[in-house]
Amino acid sequence: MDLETAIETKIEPKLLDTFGPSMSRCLLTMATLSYVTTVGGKTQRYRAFVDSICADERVVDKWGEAAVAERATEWKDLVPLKPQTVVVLTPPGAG
Amino acid sequence: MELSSSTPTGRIKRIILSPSFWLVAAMLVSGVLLHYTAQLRAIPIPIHGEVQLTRHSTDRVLLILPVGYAAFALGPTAGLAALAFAFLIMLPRVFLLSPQPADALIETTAVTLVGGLTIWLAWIKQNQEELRQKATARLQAINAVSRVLTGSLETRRMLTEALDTVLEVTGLEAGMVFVLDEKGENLIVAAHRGLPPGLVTTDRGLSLARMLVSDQALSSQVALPLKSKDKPQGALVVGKRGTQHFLPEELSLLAAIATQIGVATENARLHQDVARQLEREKRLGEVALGITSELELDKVLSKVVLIAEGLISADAGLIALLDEQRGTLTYPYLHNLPAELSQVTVSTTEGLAGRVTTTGLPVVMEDYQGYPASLKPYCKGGLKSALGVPIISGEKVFGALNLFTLEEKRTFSDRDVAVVSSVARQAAIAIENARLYESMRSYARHIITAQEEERKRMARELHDDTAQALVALSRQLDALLSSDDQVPERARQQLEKARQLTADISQTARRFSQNLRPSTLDDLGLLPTLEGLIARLSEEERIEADLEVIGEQRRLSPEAELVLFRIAQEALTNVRKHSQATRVVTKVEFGDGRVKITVSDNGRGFKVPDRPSDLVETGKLGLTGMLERAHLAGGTLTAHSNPGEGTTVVAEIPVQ
Repeated sequence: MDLETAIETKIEPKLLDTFGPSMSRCLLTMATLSYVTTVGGKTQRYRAFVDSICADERVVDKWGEAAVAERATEWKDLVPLKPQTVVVLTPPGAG
Repeated sequence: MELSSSTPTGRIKRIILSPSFWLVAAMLVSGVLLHYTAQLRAIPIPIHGEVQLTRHSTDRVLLILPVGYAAFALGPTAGLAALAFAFLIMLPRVFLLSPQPADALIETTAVTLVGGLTIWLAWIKQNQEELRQKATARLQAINAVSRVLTGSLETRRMLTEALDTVLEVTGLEAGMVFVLDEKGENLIVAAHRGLPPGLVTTDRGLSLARMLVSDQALSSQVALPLKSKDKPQGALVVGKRGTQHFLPEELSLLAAIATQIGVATENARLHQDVARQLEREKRLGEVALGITSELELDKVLSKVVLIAEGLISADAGLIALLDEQRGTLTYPYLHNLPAELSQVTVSTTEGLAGRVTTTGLPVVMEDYQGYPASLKPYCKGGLKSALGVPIISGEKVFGALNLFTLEEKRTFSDRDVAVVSSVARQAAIAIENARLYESMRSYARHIITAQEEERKRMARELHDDTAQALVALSRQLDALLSSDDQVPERARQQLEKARQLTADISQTARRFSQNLRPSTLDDLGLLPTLEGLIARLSEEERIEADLEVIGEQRRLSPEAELVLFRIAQEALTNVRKHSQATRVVTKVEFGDGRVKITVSDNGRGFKVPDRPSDLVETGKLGLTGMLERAHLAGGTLTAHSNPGEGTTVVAEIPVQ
């Protein structure tokens, strides 16, 4: 699944259902910031996006750690890593 | 990074490490060899059993000089080239010409080693110079960015200039700066350079940010978060369309710059917050003044909607008024909404205003259309997001102040709610004031009406009863005086006095009746009554009095004619009693929907108080009464006068 489709059809609706429009926008914005500042391909950025949401305390408090981990896996599986993808880590000191 | 050392040890160390030192040393050694050639021959250094330095040995040693010079002046590579060249020069002699080839080989090797050492020292120096230059360049880059960041507090301008500077100092081609919006609910492209035209649009929000960094607009890019006190502010993305490997120092420099930009962004935001707060406080002060300066409810509430809209940059607004007895809401004050919505009346169980007035609490709706109790006519009006606050004073709810966006959805912030609530509180006070004022005016209107009725009754009684009785008495006295019966002369004189007195009383009663309420006002209208009033003034006070009429003469409503007559009557009474005028002109102007009456005299004039409320304190009760009558009729009254310059009173009232 294309990552934008995954965000729009799976992640955003789920967040809206649980947290309402305002907090959902906050979570998606911080996740997008992670996406933007992660060096790598689209898939790595998408993983950083999902991790940002699932690491948020408010999300963990609401869903519980087990459910969050399960949901993170589910969301990450929507956009699987391609075999030829090269992971480039954000350099140290880059924030 | 240590750029200089000021301790003696450090200085010595630096000198020793300096390649120049070693070059000088090498040259000195060469000098020694040349200078003490003969003595050196005596030193028992076994070279194939003989001790000697030939002229060619000196030549070889001297070859170090160009190698060293090339290495330091032109760089280590040039030094290596010079060394290779020197080696090639020395080689033929070693194998072909020298009578002592072994010695020549050793000398050549030694010269080559010394040359290599010199080149190595030159290389170390060059590296140090490069590091120093890089450090300087980094400092200059950070300084340049700092200068830009401290040059402005306007976020977009500051970030655009900072991005330009970053690209300039790093030699990169393109970049963009994302910043979080105020509520942390969106990433905005605050600045961009070198991106393909049309790529950056403003209507795609977060997906635009994701697309910009992942669609390979830049083949090589570095993305760094902008942070201040570990709080994210946005991101800096810079790169090239071609391939570039970023060195750790470059990444470190960019990270330092990103931190600077993050701090500057937060500073600019804080500055803008403070400026906005000050502006809002100023506007709220104006609101308080603006709202409380109006006592007419329609004007007050229309003004409230506009002010609240302006304060939070909403597109449209309305005030819903609560009818507690019926449990309904009406929407008489609208702005930027279809006028027919003002005809809508709904129950308090419906709509945003219903919820606000019922709960007494502010409500924010990002999606008004999705609200189950939203009003269909308003949904058709295209409302997107809504903010509603109660108009409440104490426990009394007057209604709700609702504001909307029409173009796009928006989440109103807590600050927006606080600002609009403040306006609504002012509005509630203004509504209370306006209602009290309206109640006072109604009370005054009733008093004046009752007063007029009483005057009318007294005037009629004076005219119909008293004056008629006096006429009858006068006639009887006339009859007695003219009868044939003999009336003693003394009694006749008394009767004559009584008849004269009766005539005077009758005239006074008639005048008093006229002043109380001239019957001509009801029967013939304003102008004939004014003519009579002016004629009497002219006749009784010997003041030259004229009446001018402008415009199409017509009868007005009884109320309007009474107001205008009373104002003119009071003004002329003032002329008669206080002005010492010799001339007075009364001018009546009939206009479209308005009638103006002006009374001007050439009397001694007086100083008009600055404020209407001072009229009572200065004893100008007549002017106060005129002013009140004009206001009750929805009109205006102004008095222009100065000591020695006469007086002009102008009253203007609306008429149908």
